[in-house]
Amino acid sequence: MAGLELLSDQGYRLDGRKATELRKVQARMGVFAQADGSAYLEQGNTKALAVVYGPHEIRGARSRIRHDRAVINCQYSMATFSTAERKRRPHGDRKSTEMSLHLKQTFEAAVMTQLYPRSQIDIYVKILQSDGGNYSVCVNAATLAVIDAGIPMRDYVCACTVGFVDETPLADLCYAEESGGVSSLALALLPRGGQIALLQMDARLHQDHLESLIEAAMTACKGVSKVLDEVVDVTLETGSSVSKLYVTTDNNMGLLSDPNRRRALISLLTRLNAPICVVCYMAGVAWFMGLAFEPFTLRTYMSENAMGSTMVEERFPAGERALATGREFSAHKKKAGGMPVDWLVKTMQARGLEVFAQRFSRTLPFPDENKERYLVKGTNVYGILRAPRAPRTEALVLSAPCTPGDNNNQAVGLLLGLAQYFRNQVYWAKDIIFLVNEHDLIGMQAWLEGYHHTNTTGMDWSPLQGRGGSIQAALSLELSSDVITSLDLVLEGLNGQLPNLDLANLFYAFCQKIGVLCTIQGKLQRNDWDSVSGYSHSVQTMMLMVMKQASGRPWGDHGLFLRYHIEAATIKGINSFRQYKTDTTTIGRLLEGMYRKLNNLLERLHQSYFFYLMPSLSHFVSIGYYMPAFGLLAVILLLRALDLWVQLATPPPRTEDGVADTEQMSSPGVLSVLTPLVISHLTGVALYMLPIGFQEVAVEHFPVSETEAVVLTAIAIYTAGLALPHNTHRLLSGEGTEQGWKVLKLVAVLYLAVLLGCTALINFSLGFILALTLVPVAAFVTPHVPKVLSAFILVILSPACTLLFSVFFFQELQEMPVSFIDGWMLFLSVISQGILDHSLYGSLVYPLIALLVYPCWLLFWNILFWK
Amino acid sequence: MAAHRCSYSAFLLIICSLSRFFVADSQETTLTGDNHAAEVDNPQTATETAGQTAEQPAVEEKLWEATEEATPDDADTDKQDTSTPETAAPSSVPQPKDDFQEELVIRPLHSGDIYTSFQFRTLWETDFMRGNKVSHYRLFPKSLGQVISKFSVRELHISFTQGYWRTMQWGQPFLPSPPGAELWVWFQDSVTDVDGTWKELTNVLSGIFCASLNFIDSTNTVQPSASFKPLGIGNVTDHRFLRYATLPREIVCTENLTPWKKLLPCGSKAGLAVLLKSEKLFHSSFHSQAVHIRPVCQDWQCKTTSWELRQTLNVVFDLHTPGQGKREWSLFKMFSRTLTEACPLASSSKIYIDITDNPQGEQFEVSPATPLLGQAMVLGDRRTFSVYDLTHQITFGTVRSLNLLIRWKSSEGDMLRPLLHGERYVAGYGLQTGEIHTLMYNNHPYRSFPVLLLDSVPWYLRLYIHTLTVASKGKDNKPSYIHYQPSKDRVRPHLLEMLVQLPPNSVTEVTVQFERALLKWTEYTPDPNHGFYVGSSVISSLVPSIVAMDTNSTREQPLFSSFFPCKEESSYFVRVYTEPLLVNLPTPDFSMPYNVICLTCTVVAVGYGSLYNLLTRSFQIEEPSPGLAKRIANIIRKMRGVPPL
Repeated sequence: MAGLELLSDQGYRLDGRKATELRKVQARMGVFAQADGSAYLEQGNTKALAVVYGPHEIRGARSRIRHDRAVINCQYSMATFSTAERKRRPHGDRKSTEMSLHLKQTFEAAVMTQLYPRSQIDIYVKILQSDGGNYSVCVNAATLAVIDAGIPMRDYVCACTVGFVDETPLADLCYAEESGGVSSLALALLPRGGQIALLQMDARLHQDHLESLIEAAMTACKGVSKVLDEVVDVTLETGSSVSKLYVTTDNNMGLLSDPNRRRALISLLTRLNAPICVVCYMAGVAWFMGLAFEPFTLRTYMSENAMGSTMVEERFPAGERALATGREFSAHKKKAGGMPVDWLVKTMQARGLEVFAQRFSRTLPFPDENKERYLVKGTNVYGILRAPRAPRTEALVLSAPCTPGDNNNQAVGLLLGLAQYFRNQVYWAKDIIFLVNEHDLIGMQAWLEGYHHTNTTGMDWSPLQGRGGSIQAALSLELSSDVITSLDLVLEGLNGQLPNLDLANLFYAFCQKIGVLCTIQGKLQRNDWDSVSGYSHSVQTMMLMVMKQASGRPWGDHGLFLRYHIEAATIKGINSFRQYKTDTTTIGRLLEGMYRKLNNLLERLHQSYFFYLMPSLSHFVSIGYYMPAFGLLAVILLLRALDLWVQLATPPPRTEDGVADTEQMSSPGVLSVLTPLVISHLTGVALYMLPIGFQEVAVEHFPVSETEAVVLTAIAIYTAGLALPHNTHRLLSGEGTEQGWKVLKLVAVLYLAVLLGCTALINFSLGFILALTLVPVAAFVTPHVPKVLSAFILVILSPACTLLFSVFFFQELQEMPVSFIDGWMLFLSVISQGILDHSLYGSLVYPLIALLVYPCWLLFWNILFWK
Repeated sequence: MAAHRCSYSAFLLIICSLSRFFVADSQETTLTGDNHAAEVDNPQTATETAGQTAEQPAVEEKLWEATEEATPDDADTDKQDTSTPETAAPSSVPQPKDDFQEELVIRPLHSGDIYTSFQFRTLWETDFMRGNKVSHYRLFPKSLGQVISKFSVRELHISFTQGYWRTMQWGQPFLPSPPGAELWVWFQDSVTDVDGTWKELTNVLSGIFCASLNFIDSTNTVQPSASFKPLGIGNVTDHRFLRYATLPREIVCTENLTPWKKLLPCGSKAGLAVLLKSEKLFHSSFHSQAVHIRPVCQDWQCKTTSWELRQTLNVVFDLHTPGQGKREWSLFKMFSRTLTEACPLASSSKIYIDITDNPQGEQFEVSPATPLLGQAMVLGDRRTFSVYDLTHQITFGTVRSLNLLIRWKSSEGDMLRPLLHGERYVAGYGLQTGEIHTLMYNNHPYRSFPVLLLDSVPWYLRLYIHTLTVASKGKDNKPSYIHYQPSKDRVRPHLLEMLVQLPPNSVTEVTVQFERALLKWTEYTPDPNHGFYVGSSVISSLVPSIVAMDTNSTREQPLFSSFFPCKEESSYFVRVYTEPLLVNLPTPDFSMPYNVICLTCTVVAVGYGSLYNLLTRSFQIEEPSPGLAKRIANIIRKMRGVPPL
């Protein structure tokens, strides 16, 4: 221990520190932006820079990969200018390598390497100025850098070098002390748990002193840790490198969960309820009217590729012969007084078809309006053209009805002509069924039920002998004159179902190609959409479609196919006084073309729309466009319901009356709602059941025919319903209360909303028309409005009157206006027809109106007369 | 099935006997051996025993008789030869080890259509199963021989059919087959992993025949317990070694015909096969080609067996094809070829024209006329044929080419209604449930007979087996045997086999309801809206013979032979296939709108969710709950009255 006095007698060291005193520690984190973490640390005159990269993928030797933890790679170096003598090489010498290894061991103990399997963390440390305790300074700096990189560690790693001089441990040795022959000890500590990460001692020391030396080192380390902790804290607070997640802590609640805002919103809704409702109604109607405006609609286009661009030449030559066959058919029809079954069978067989006949009979619930028949008996004749080399799995249908009188002979003639022509062609891939059905829809119903072996309406038919697999598409043909001017396409089927739009597109495409005038709803297409008359023309066309769809009845023989998921349409030949003439050969070619395209189908028609309205044949409105019109009407009901709900929830501000009201409300609540509901529905059931059930009684007692009896019974029950239920609640609960009608109205409004919503999804037109009339009723009815006027309006907007107006409107649209008396008669026949349609084909409009809509309307009637 | 084979062999016998009498070679042994084969195969049920004897009438077939105006030509001398009964002709000529025969049957149908049926038979006396490898192939196609030995196949029947056989117009076909592809195979009982072998075999056959047979997997393979019996020798009837599958969707076209033709010894270069031009064959109403391989007896005592490869091709030409103004048919018109020679490798090469309904030539006229007539029992009916032997130069006449011409004179005359036929359809509407109706018609006026119905329904039609009803004439008809194997989703199909007695002159309706399964979206075919196929159901039966119904049958026979209805003639085996079904399953709309709906729903859901959150939630900072120590410390501090940490 010669030379320097390392520790003076006063207990001071060379640089004037006490034995346990540390040098001044200064540090900064995040000194470099490029590295993942970096720190600069000065401890006395020793200055170190530490940089951390990673964790990242292992670079270099893949063999170093550890599958359970990260590999730590350390590199220690000293700047050439860091020592008194200039160093030759900054790193790579023995000492540096050893130091790197020590660092590595230290950090492997401290860093939570298991969090980063198969990755690598690089720690580079450089001593800028060396003044003793290089190792510990490096460790401290690296700790900060690792923290800066955001790599989780078990704890800070703090290191310190201690020496032992004169039985006294000296903390944090400087260069002079280190080189002065002190036996020094470097210790890296995880201060919180007191674990030692690394302990290194080069010199000799007596065993007894080790304890105290380590003790001193640990104390010193803890001192360092405190400093580092402060540095980290400071860094975090200034927010220099670590981004902090700030969460707003203001007291703003969500818009609806905040009572104040909610109150404001609700009061806005209740205060402005009436104007909003009016605006919605207007907007709904305007939207609907806008649908017919051509720029707002879409052009039709063929979606099905199989029917797309393949051009074929139509060659059907035998129009004249078809007409002759038609005349022959007509003669035989007259002779047979109905379907000339034998002749048809023979003719079809001669054309090489497999021919079958089906007999059917149907007892009508009551004789229908114009034909006066109870029992319908008939025979359908159909011939199947078997496609060559086809396994009877798919078929197409062409049908023509055999109507009494002189109608439709040409259609049957053309059908037979086409059968003959088609039979000689080789390109068929699907069987083609040529069907002549007697009694229009009833025969068609019998045939379809026989083909699919179902019985939905209690009809008697003989089972079919021949089938052609699943029917892919069907066309029904109606031609009544030798020369026609235009072809009309009828799409509306049972319950407002429509065929896939591609079928209409196909028809339109071939009309364009062959040059036949084509109409829809009997309306030609016009090009002047920008003029008022042009616009009104397309509105008329669309309104006609809406009316027809809303009626829910099949508007042609095709209408019954749609239930069986068979796309079908009726093509009607129109002979008006236009100049343009088309002969049967051309129509035959048109049908030939359509069937060849349908024959090409690989799949069922499914590409295009199933829900649409057509303002003209070349334009359509898809469901996405027309539904908002209904939605705007339906939202009124919801708004009213909300208004009522709020009113019910918040008791009126009157103090004493209000208390009385609420008390009363609680007791009669359920009954006051339930009774009118039950009564009005019972009325509905009566309206549904009685007209048919009581026809015999009615005929006995009144001088009317069965049909009249049914219709008049229906009207009588309908009218009686108005008188019946509106006072019943008084019998049960005495005085009607303010709360009582509100609850009832709330129920009625929601009921109506659900009802209309469901209806509109299935049959948009029906839902929309009902919404158009019933929504205003539902919106304005209260017991406080003037009674007489309101009752009048209510009656005007009732379902029956809607039907009456629709009849007039429909006639008007068809340019066949009727006088009031005629209209009334038509109205009566429409009712009887609706009831017949329900029992014959399963049309749902009559039960819907009778069982659901009418009772719902009665509820509003009930509210009006609430006392 | 044994009975089925009877019908085969009945026909086969005709061929054999023809060759015997004309060529006067030693077909005798083959013939009798074949006959014997039927007897050694002991069938399971009594009905089959009845059917087994069906070939007996064929044995006592009518010998050749010349027409009245038979000209003294070369054939006449043949006729003289044949008229001497040579029942036990000792086969002194050394037998060739393999043998090839070809024939064409033309049957004008009552509908005016024409039915042509080619049959090519290769016989080879060899044993593929023995240890030593068969390496030298002469007539037998090597590709099939290797398949037989590699996969230990005992019997293999494969058919490709385009179109549906119209039983009601055309009568029964010689060889029935369902639309699409049908494959059934009996394996040797030495095969341990039958399913694995089957899988490999289908893949190999798929390559050989250029067909999609590799689509046969466990979901369309069944093991019928009774409907398909081995047709060759051997009496192993354990249906574990049987696999049956149909692919109703398979389209058959020229690429299937070409490999089929290559299996013939002469290819399509010579013989009848020159007629097989695909442009005409696929311009028809019905096209069916088949390959049947089975072991048959080689000699009378069945000491040695030989392998029989029978290739058949059936075509029905349509009367109403364009350019068919005159009602006449000729070989050239049908096949755009005429015949000039027989296949040089063939031991027999013949054309038969069915003239049963035309004894005096009132319906149609055949030219050139042939003096040779033959009779045979075909499907319970005694048919008369004009025979043209191609091995004789005289057949080709002076122009050295044979162009048979059939000219229709009148289209009158009714076809005897087929005694058995079936049809099938799906009833009901909507995409949830449905009902499969199978109708079986027994048109026999007074005899009832049992039929075996085999139905294999894919798993995605979930059969409600409790709704199974069998009714004839409005009454419940209880099947005497039902074998039902329920399906497993995505693994195996339903298998339903029933033995039903069909009352005379009746329709028996088998109905079963099903539910349509919703498939996973990857399981849909690329054209899901086309529908899914259900293979034909198979009706196998022993049908009472028409001959027994024929009051005039005594006319051609000695009186002493015809008082009792001869048992052997009384029934014959028929297999009838119904139409395949096309069933629509509930299908998501895979088109663009479907994607749009999915996307918009997602966007709306996400947008709505966040908006709803914003509207209804309030945000607060969650105070981290202090640790346990801190909480305890705080309690203590509280008790001490010191502010908490």
